[in-house]
Order: sequence, then C-alpha cells, then structure tokens
Amino acid sequence: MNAATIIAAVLTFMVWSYVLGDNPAFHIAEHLLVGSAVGFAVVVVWFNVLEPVYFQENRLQPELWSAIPLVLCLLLMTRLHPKWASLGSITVAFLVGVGAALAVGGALFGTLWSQTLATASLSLRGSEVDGAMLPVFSDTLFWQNLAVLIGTIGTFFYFMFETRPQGALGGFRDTFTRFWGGIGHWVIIITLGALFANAAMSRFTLLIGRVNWLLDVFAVNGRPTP
Amino acid sequence: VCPKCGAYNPIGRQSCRACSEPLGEGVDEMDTYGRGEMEGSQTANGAEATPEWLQLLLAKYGEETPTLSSLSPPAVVEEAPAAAPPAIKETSDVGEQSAADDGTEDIPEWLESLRVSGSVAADEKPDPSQPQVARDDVGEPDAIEADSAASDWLSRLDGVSSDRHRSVAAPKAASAEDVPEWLTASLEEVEMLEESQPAASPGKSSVPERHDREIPEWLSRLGEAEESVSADEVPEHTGAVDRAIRAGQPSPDAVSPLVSRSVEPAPPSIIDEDRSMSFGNVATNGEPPPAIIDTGELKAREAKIREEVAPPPSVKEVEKGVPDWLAQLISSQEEAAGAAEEATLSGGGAEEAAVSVTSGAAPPQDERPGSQAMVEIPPWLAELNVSEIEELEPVGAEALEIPPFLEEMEREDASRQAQAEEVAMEPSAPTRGEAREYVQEQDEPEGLPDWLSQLHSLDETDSTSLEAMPGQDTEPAVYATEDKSDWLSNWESMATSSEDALIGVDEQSREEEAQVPDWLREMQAEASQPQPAEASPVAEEMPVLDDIERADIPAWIHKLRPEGEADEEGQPVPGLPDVLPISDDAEEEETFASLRARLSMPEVPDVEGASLFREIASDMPEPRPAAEEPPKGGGLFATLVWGLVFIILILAIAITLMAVLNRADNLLGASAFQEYLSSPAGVALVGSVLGFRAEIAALPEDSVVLVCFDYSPATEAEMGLLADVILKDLSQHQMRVIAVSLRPEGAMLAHRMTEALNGESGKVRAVNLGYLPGNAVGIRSLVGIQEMTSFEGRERLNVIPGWEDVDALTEVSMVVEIADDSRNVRWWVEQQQALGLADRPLLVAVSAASAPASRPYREVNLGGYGHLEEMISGITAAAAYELDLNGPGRAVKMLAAQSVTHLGLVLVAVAGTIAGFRN
Repeated sequence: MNAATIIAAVLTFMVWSYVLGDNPAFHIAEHLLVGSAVGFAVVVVWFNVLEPVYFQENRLQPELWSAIPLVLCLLLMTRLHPKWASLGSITVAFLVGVGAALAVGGALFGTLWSQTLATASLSLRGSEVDGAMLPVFSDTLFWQNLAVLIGTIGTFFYFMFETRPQGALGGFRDTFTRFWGGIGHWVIIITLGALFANAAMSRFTLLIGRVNWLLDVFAVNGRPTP
Repeated sequence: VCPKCGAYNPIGRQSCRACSEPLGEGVDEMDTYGRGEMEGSQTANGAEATPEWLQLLLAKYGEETPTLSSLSPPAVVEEAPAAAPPAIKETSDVGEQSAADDGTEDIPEWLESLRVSGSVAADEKPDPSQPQVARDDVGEPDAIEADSAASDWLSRLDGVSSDRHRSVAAPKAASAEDVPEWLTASLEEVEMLEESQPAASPGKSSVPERHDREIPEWLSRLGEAEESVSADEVPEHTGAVDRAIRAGQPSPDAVSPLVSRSVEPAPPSIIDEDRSMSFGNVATNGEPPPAIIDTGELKAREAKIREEVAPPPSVKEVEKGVPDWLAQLISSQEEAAGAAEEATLSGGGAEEAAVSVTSGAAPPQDERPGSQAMVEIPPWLAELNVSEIEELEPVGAEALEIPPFLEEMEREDASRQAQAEEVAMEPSAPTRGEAREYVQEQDEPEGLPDWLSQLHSLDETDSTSLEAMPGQDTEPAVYATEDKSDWLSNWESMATSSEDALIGVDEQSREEEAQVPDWLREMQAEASQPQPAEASPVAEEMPVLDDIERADIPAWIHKLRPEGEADEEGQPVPGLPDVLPISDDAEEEETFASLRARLSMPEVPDVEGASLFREIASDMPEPRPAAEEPPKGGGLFATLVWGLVFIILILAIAITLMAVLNRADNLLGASAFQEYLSSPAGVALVGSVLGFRAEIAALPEDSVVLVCFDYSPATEAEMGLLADVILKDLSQHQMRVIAVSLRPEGAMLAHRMTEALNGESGKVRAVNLGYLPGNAVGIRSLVGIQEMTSFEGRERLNVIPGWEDVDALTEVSMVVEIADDSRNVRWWVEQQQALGLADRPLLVAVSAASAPASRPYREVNLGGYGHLEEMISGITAAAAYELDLNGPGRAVKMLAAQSVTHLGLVLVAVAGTIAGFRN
C-alpha cells in the first residue's frame, strides 16, 4: 500500500461523506478532483500536443505549417478582449468549418446512410441453420427484425406533424398516422427507459467496483491492492 | 399746525416749514396738548373767541377761523357727531354754548329749544334695548361724545356718592342700598389720595391775580358761590342730596351738581378719562345699562390712578406741564380756594377743589352748588335747572336707581376693596371662595340676566367642584355680556366652565375665547396646564357611567404594546374611568397613517380589512437567525466524533457488502453464471463474446492492434474490467498494441494498462501514444502514426524496439474501441473509412449505459461504411469474457455484487410502485 493508494482511499471517503450532507470534506475532494483534472489536462496537452509539434527536434510537421495553428491559437486568445474579439472569429470559423465538414461526412455516410440501409435490409424470412430455414415464428431474428421495423416506423410517425387530413381518405390517413404515432411513442418510452436503466446499473457497477477496490486496499478480500 | 397747508411744525416756529406761512399761537397749543384734548381745550374768554379745538381743526383744513358769534346755533348742532345720542349732543352743546356765553340773558332761540329738548330728554326712561357703546371706541368722536355723556351720568353718581361719602352722618348701610359699593370704594380711594396731597392746597394761592383775570364770569360766580358755601353748607348739602336721591324728593341743592356738570365742559383729565372709559359702556343716554362691570379692570385703573397721583406734583409742575387753559383753571380754582380759606372757617372745600383740579376732576363749583350759586346762575340756566329738577323729580329715583345686579357687583367690589386694603393696597382678584360667596349671596336672582341666573344655579350645584379648582383662584371675576352668542350660552348652560364664567377671565379674554372653538380651547388647556384630572372642570362634569363595561382590547393591540407597559395595562386615565390613556403608539399611528396615505387607502370603516392590514403591516419581519458559531473547543471534538461515526458506518457497509458478495459469489458466482450462460437467455451474450474473441484469434501474431481507451476514471470500475480482459486476450495472442485516447485522462488509464501488459511480457508489446486532441479530427491525426511519439518515453513509434516496421497506419490490423460513450463509437465508425481502415475489423467494448446507442452500428455491416464487427458491453460481457478467457476473476465478483444490487433495486421499485398505487 503506497501513499497514492491511501490518498485515493481517503479522497473516496471524502466524496462519500456527501451522504451525510454538504460538508467541507466533500468540497475539498471536489476541488481536488477538478483541479487535478485540469492540471492533468494541461500537462497532457503540453507534452502530447505542443511540445512534439513546436519544441521537439524531430517534429512531425514543417515549421511553416506549424505556425498556422499557433497563429490561430493566438487569434483565439484575442477574444478575451472585446476590442480584439473579432480576430478570434477567424479561428472559430476555421474550427467550425473543418469540424462540420468532417462530422457531416462521417455522420451522413457512417450513421444515416448505413442505418437506413441496415433497416431496409432487415429480413423477415428467418434464419438459416445448416442450410435449412427455421420456422419464421420460431426464429428469434425474425422477431428481432420485426420489432426493429415496427419501432422504426412508429418512431417516424410519432415525429410527423400535420393537420387533420381532408378528402375521402382523410379519416383513414388520420387514423393510420395516429396509430403508428402511438406505437412510436411507446417505442421511444421503452428505449429511454432501457437507456436510463443501463445508466443506473452502470453507476451501481462503479460503486461496487470502488467498494471492491477499498476492500482490496485494506486486504479485506485477502489480497491487498498493490 | 400750519393753517394753510396743515403741516406739523415744531413748537416755537414762526413760519411753516412747508409753505412758509406764518404760524399762529394756537398751533403751539395744539402741538402741546394733542388733538385728543381739543374738545376740552378752551380759552377762558371763550365767549368772544372760537374754541381752540375748533381753531385747530379749521387750521388743519385750511379754513379761516370764524368767530363763534358768527356761527349760527343750528350749525353747531349739525357739526356734532350724528352717532351720539340726542341727549348727549344736546347736553354737550348746551355746555359749550353755556361756556361760550357770558351768562347774560341774551340766549338764542336755538338754545331755548335745546333747553326744552334737554328737559324732555331727561324725562325719557332708559331703554335697555339700546346698544351700548363699545369700550374700544373711546378715542373716536362718537365715543368721546358718549364718554362725555357717561361722564355726566357718572358725574351725577359721582357727585352723589362724593357727597354721600363726605356726609359724616350718612351710614354705610344706607348708602350701600343706593350707591354701588364699588363706586363708593373707588371714590374712597380717590378721597384717600386727596387727603394724601395736602401740598396742593398752599399752591393754590400762588396765582390769584391770573385766576381773577382769566376766569369767566360765570365761573367766577360759581366759584364765589362755592367759596361761600364751602365750609358750612357742604354737609347739609350732601345730606340733602343723599336724602333726595334716596327718597326721590326734589332737592334744589342736589340738582345743582347735575346742572353744573351738564353745563360745564370739564377738561379731560386722567381720572375722568379712566372713569369715562370704565363707565362709558355703562352710561349711555343716562341710563343704567346691563353692562359689563369689569372689576378687575377697574382695579387696574384705580391702581393706575394711584400710581399717577401718588407723587404729588407741585403747583409749579402742574403749571409747567398743563396747558394754559388748565393752568388758568387751576389758578382760578386756587384763587377761589384761597378766597374760600380767607372767607370760610375750614379749608375742606378748598382742598376738595384743589384735589379736583389736580386730578382733573370737574370744577369744584360742580360739587358744591349752593343757594348763592343758584342765585348767580344765569336766568336761562336757572330756568333750565328748575325745569330739569321739576321734571326729574318724579323720575329722579328711577334714573338713579341702580339695578340689583349692579348693587351686588358694587357690594362685591366693596368687599374686595376692603380685602385689598388689608393686603397693603395691592390689587387682588377675588378668590374662589369670594366668588362662590358672591354667587350664594345672590338673594335676588330675578334681577340678574337669564344667563347669569343659570350660572348661579349651576354654581350652586357645582359648589363642591368649584372649591376643588385651585388654578382659578387668581383669575378675576367677570360678568358676561348680554350679547353673548348662542354657543356661549350653551357652553355656560352645560356648566362645563361655569367657573370661567364667574371667575377668572376678563372681557377681552372672553371675547377672544368666544372666537376660539371648543376643541381648540380644550387642546390649549391640556397643552398649557396639565392639571390633575380631579381638578379639571371637564373631568368634574363628565358623568361616570358605571353600567358600561370596559372595552376589550384586541389582541393585536396587546401585541403592539411595549413590554415595559405591561404593568400599566388596564389602568384608566386618572379621574376618567373607562378611558384608557393615550398609548405611546403615536409614532406607529403616524407611520400607519403615512403608509395609508402612500397606498391611497380610503378611510372606510372596513374593520376587518383594516385589522388584517394592520396585522400584516405590524408583523415585523422575523430576524434572520444569526449563524451559530460553533464553539472553538467543541468544534474539533465534534468533528472527530463525526469522523469516527462516519468511519464506523463505512466499515459496517463494507462488512455487509463483503458478506453479501461472498454469498452472492456462491449463489451468483462462476457456477451460477455458467448456468446462466448455458441458458437460452445468455445465447446473445455468449455469441457476442465468442465473436469478439474470434476476431482477435483470427489475426496473426505480432499484428498491430490499435486500442483506443475512451473512458475516464469515473467509469474505470466497469470499463477497466473490459479493457483488462481484452488486453489479456490480445496478449495471449501475441498481438502488439498501440494505445491512444480521445480524452486526456484516458491516456493515463491506457498507460496503466500498457505498463501492466509490458510488465507481464517483459517486452514492449504495447506503446501508449497518449492523447489525440480534436475528437473526430484527432482520429484523423493517426494518419501519421509512424511519426507519433510515445506518451512516456517521448520516442517515435518506428524507433521503439520491436516497432520499427510500423511506419504507417495501414500496418494496423484491427481497431478495438473501449468507450463509455456512444459518441466515441460513432466517431470511430464514421472515420474508419477516412483512415483507410474500412476493411479492418472494428471491435467495440462499451459500457452497459451506452450499449443501446452503439448497437445499431453492430447490426449493420454494409462492407464499407460503418463496419462494426463485434460489440460487447458491461460487466456481464466482462464476466463472460473472463470466464471464457481465464476463469472467474474480478469481473465475476463484480457481476455477483451487481446482481444482488439489481435484485434490491427491483424490490425497491416494486415496493414503491405498490405504495404509489395505494396512495
């Protein structure tokens, strides 16, 4: 057991002391966490970004190109003064432009297009095992694909906003939209509930892991943490 | 006064300084004596000359001074003030004319008519309804006329009184019935003063020649007659007058003073002025009106007279200070007195004359008319006197009859005079007892006015309360006027201030008080003299109502009451039962009033609303509780105690969890989990783990696997188990690992993993390139991965031993994303094609929370875009991976604890749901 482990254990208790109410110990741990995180980020940025680019002998990029990010960084710092804030807009424009270009391309072809094709390629025929088709209703993939299909259609109708349809099929269309919109409503509720349940379980897992770590630190489990 | 322009000039100036006109001698006299005395100024030879006052008046207005003989008698009458009563004007006119006349028989016709009218006027009975002359109008001509008439009326009384007092045989009791005692006392004082001035007598003989030269003949004859009767006839005369007045019989001796006084225009003197002023409102038209007899004022004036008379002036001083005409009169009187001394036995009459002259009283011949004087009187005057006497005989008693209330006033005044003499001649107001005695002595209340009778009756009822008023003893008595207002009558009838009506306020204060409203008077009384409630007239008059219950004070008033006054609660105002004293909440009332004014609240009798508003407004804001400062000594002890308690609590939780975990490990451990994985419910989990491991196993040895640690220490308990089992699997397959992170803190977590991996193998099987800034853009920086340096040794990747062959990103055979956020997964999926790794398998290990958002990329395999080969998530996958890799380890224990926790959460959720439905 080293000092870092002891400090980590003490800080863990200090954070947990919030169970008894707001207290200085919790605030100390909180401030230490924020401060150390920011300090660690600065160190990491220095050693991982700035030093290899500008101060390392075998720099990855030539000096001319390296000056561009530095100039953009200095321009970004001018936003601290209102009189010179407009100069920082150049850097912001560069970041937003490049980021949007990269993200849009990835999102369009990596998420939207692929997800659409995946959903469209769902098969309700069932699985094939050893060259023989399983019965449709006994195939899990069938039910899974059916649920994905119904959920996707319902969610789309849920977000469809229109006025009361007119004409001969107006009533039918209204009923159809309401029906699938209701399905999409329940699909969204179930999805969000599943996400929240997973988040809660994940946080309980973190608590259990931290208790296990403490038990290991104090050799309660029989093997102290190194 | 300049006769031309009327400008005033200093004495002795010969020409006017305004118009340079020559000034006459009469101007100097006017300047010396003033205008107010013009009526009385008269030259001794006024028979031929115009009176000086007329000269001055004419000179002022630039008129020529005509001779009096040129004036027609009716014109003189027309010049008299019209406001004066006819009898007064006639009398004065007669006097002036008589003075101007030389006493011969050539009386004009208008004077004859005046005689007749004067006699007719004497016949007239007094009219009580006629208004009395205001006392303030003394200085005006009308008032002067009235005063002269009053002086006539008074002179009659004075003469009678003087004679009566001079009469030794006249008893006091008898005189009290006929003459007011107050007047008697006043005259007594004057008499005392006369006796105290014996020095005036010798001086009288100093100017006999002048007197003989300037005195009119008629006056000389009167003086001679007086001298002839000065010693012997006076007592008989006065006694006769008294008897005549008392019995109403005509007495020739008693008529002469009246005639002489009415004929003789006496010069205005101090005493006469005062008396005329004092009695001016009493005697109008010769009638005894029901006027105010201000005894206090009379006393003051008597004191003033006394002060003025006290230093006996010498004859020279008198001659020096008095005008010529008065000096002539003085000299004539002195001469007459000297002649009387020589001719008679005693000098009492001379003394009287001297005193009368010194004090400015009427000439002595007025006082001592004798038979010889009557003989010497001109025939017309004699006829006038006879006619008047004859006409006055039947009405003389009525004319001189003093009303009962005046008698009582005089009597009271006399008693007070006696008291004043006892206290060394100091003027003092009647005391309360005297006033009460006076009221009680009212034997004939029917003679009093109605309002005075009411006061009398009220005074009898409130005699006890009057005795308890010490503050009113020093105030003089006053008798209200007939013309009092209605409110004053009501006020008096209420008897709330009967004491003020009888005692203590003079006429002026009464007039001022009449103009002051009641409420203001009460406020002034309260502010000026806070008397005890027992002595307050209002308190005395307020009825005590015993049958009225005491009002209940509302609770909110009790709340507003200061605590210091708690002992005085319920005590009424002394002397005012059932009346609570004014509280000290005046400031609060003012504040409340100002607040009401600010809010424009109408003053409506909304009692409930007002009470509510008052309650709200009066509620003081609760003071903010002061922060309790923990004691310094006890604070450390309390901290230690709380720390100890906290540690004990944590240990208890840990021991409990340990017991549960051990039991769960047995129940839900490897064996139980193995059973679960063997069930159909674990097929998907087992398939994902097996597919993940199959991808790793499919790679050749020394393949470069890019592992991205995109999680933080906060999720390290979950994600660390996944990373641990994945790295162990890669290590078992002899894979080289390049660790990167899109988060700064992930670089350190990657460093810990790579160090552990390198330590187990003894070689550099893992290189941590550290943090990649820019998120999705940072992924693209991996294009120059061969130039990138390690996180710890700052060495380029292609120079690290065992990594020389890695000079491009294309050397990477597989990408493993370990993330606790689905965004990182999406970034890698989206940038996979941009990196040129679209044909490389992408394995994802995510947390259980982000698994639903990342799962769609797992299900899509379009062979180019977004290819996610396999995905595992959560502790369950880690436990399964661990079981499949090396047997049960930390992941399996975590899974057992997590399972118990999930069971507990399910129970709590079910219980809460049931409770919610019941409620």
